[in-house]
Amino acid sequence: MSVNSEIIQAVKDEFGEGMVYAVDRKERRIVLTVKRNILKKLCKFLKEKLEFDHLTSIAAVDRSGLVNGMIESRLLYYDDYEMVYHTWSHSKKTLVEIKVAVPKKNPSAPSITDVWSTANWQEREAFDLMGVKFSGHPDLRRILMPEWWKGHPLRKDYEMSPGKWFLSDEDEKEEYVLDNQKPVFPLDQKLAENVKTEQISEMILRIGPVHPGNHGPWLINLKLDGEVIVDLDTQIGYQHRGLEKIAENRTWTQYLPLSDRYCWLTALSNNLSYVLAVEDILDVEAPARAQYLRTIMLELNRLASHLLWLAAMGIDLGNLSGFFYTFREREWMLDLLEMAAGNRLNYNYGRFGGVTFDVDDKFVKKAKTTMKIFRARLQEYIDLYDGSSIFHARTKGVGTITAKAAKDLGVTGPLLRCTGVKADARKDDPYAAYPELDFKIPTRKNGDVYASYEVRMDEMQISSEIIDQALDNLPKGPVQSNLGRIEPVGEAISRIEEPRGEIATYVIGDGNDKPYRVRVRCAEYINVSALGHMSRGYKIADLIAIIGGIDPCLGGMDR
Amino acid sequence: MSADGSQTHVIFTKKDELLEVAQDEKKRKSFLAKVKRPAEYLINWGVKSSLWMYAWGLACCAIEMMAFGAARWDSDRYGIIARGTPRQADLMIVNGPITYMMAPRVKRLFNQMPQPRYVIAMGECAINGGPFWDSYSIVKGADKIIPVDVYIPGCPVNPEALLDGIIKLQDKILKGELAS
Ligand code: SF4
Repeated sequence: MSVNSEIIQAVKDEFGEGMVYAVDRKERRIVLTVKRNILKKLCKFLKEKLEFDHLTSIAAVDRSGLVNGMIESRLLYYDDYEMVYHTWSHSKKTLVEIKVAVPKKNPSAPSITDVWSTANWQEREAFDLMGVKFSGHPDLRRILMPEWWKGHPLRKDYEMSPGKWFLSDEDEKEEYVLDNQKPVFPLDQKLAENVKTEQISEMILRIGPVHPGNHGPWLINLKLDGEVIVDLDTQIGYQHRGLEKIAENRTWTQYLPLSDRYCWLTALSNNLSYVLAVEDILDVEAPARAQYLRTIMLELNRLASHLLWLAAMGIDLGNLSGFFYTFREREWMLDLLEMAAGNRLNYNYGRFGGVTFDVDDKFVKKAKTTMKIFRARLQEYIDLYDGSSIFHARTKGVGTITAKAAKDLGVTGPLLRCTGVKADARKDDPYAAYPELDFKIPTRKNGDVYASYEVRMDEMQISSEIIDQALDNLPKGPVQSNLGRIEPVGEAISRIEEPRGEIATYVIGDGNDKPYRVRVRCAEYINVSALGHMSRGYKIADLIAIIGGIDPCLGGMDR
Repeated sequence: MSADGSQTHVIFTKKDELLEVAQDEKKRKSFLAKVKRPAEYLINWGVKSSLWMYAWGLACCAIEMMAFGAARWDSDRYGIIARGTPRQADLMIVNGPITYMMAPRVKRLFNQMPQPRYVIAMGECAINGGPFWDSYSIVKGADKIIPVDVYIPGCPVNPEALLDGIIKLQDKILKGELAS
C-alpha cells in the first residue's frame, strides 16, 4: 500500500468512513475534507499518531464568488468560507490538506494553536485579513494591518483601494493614535519566575520600527529585567502591500513579476513557487533544459541571499569589513543572474512551462569560473568570521532552540537544520532538476546562532557544487513550452526550499483569466514568530545576534 | 566666482578695514550683499560634497542602495556616508513602498533630520506606488507625505541610476532649486 492510502486508511479507521472525505491527489499530496467539529481531533491525531509534526500554512478562502473549480469534496460540506490547513510530515514526506467549511455569517473555527504553536500567527493573519474568529486562540488581534483598520481586505466584498490619502502636519501628532498597538506579551510564566535576580524591575523597551539591527521596519517590544529579556512582542505589517489581494486583480501572467516581490532576496524561489503551483493545476511540466536552468538560478539566488545574510551579520556583530567582502562576491552572483534573466533583484524568470530566457555558452563559462573562485573565497570568509573570537563569543550558545520546539514553532530552513533535523524540500519534495543531482543536506546539532551560521556556510559550498553539476549536465532543447492562453481550474500547493526555509504557494483557479486566490506562506514570517521563544532569557545585545541568525526579510514577513 | 559666473571680488585694501566694516552698519550691509552669493555657493558646494545619507531600508530598492554603498560603487567617493540615525543625515532615500501604517513614521523620520535636508524617491514605489499602485495599504507616492527633490524611476533602481539621481541632486543643491 502506498504512503497516501495508508494515511487515508488510518484517518478513516479513527474517525469513521462517513466523517472524512479523502482525495488521493497525487504523490505526496492528500486532501481531507471534514466537518468543523472534528477538526481539532483530526489535527491532534495527525500530529500524535501519524507524525505530521509541521504545519505548513493556514489559508482562509472566501469562496462566495467561486463558480468553477469545485472539487467533489466541496459538495459534501459546503459553505461560503473555507479554512485550509496544510500539514507536512518530515518522516512520511507527505502533505495533507485539511479543508473545513465555515459560514460567512459570523465565521469562526476552533483554534489549533495547542496542537501546533506555529498556528498562532497564521490564525492571527487569517483573522486580520479574512475576519475568521478562532475560538480558544490565546491572543487574537490584528497582525498585518494596523489596529485602526476597518474591514478585512481579503474578503471578496472588500473595496480594494481607500482612495487618495494625504498626511498633513496635524496628522503627525496623532501618530500614536494611528498605529500604536498595545503590546501583548505572551509572558512565559515559568521563565519569569526563573529570572534569577531577587528584585525584578521590569522595563519596556521598543526597538524599531526603524532600527539598524532590525533589517527593515518592524517593531520589537521588549520586557526587560535589567539586561535580560523577560518577554517579547513583535509588531509587523509596516511593509504589508497586500500582494494576496493584488493577485486577484491581475491576470495569471501579470502576477508573475509581483510574486517576485514577496521577498526581494529570494525572488526566484517566490516566483517559481507560484509557477510550480500553477503548473501543477495545469498538469504541465517544463522541458528538461528549463528545469536545469531553474535549478541553477535558484542556487545562484541562494548564494546571493546567503552572502547578503553574511554581510548583514557582519554589520550587526561589528565586523564591517565582512560587509564589503561579501558584497564583492554577491555582485558576481547578481551579474550572472542579470546575464540570464535581465534584472539584478526581481528576475521575473519563471514562466508557466519554462523559463524566460535561455543561456548561452558565455554564461556557462562565466558561471564555472565564478564558482571556482567563489569556493576559494568562501575559505576567506570562514577565516574572517570564524577566526574572530568575538564572533564566537557572541554567537555560541546564543538563541538556542531544540529540534522539538523548532518543529512545533514551524521553523524551517537553516534554522531547523541547525537543530539536527534533516528537512529540505529540495530532497523531500523534489522540484526542478534536484532529483537528478547529487548533493548533501548539511545539519548541525547545537541549534544556536553559530550552528545556523555553520549550516549556511556549508550550504554555500554545496550550492556552488550543485551549480557546477547542473552546468555540466545541462541538456539541450527548448526552454519554454507553448501553453497558449491559460485559464486553470482547480487548486494546488507547491513547496520550495528558499534560502530562509520553506515557501509554499497555494493557488486556486476557477477558469477565469485571474487567479481566484493566491495564498503564500513565507519562511520569514514563521521564523520570526519564533523570535520570542529563541530570545527569552538572553540579553539585549544577544537579540541582535539572534535576529541576524534568523535572517529576517521584511518582504516575506509582511507581503 | 559666483554661481552665475559674474565676478565678485571682495578685497580689503586697508589694514583694519574688516573691523571698520564690522562696526559700521551701512558698510556691513553692502559687504554682506557682496559676499552673499559666493558664500552661498561655497556652502552649497560643501553641502553637496558631503551628503550623508540615512541608512534605512523599506523594500527591494534598499538592497540596491546597500550595493551602492558597497565595494563596486562605493558611495564614499561622492562624500556619501551612511548614517544609522536621521539626526545625523542630510539625505533620505525613500527606497520602497510606504504603507499607511508606515507613513507617519516616515514623516517623523523626515522631521527628525536637521536642515538642509533632501529627499530622493527611489523606484516606482516611492514615486507613485509602483507595482502595488492599486493595493489597499499603499500610499501613492512619497511626495504625498514629504517633499521630494529627485525622482529615480526603475524597479528596482540600479546603483548606477541611483548614482545618476544623486548627481542630479547635487546639481540642484548647487543651483539652490530645492523642494524643501
Ligand atoms: S520600485 Fe520595484 S524594486 Fe523598488 S521597492 Fe518598489 S517594487 Fe521593489
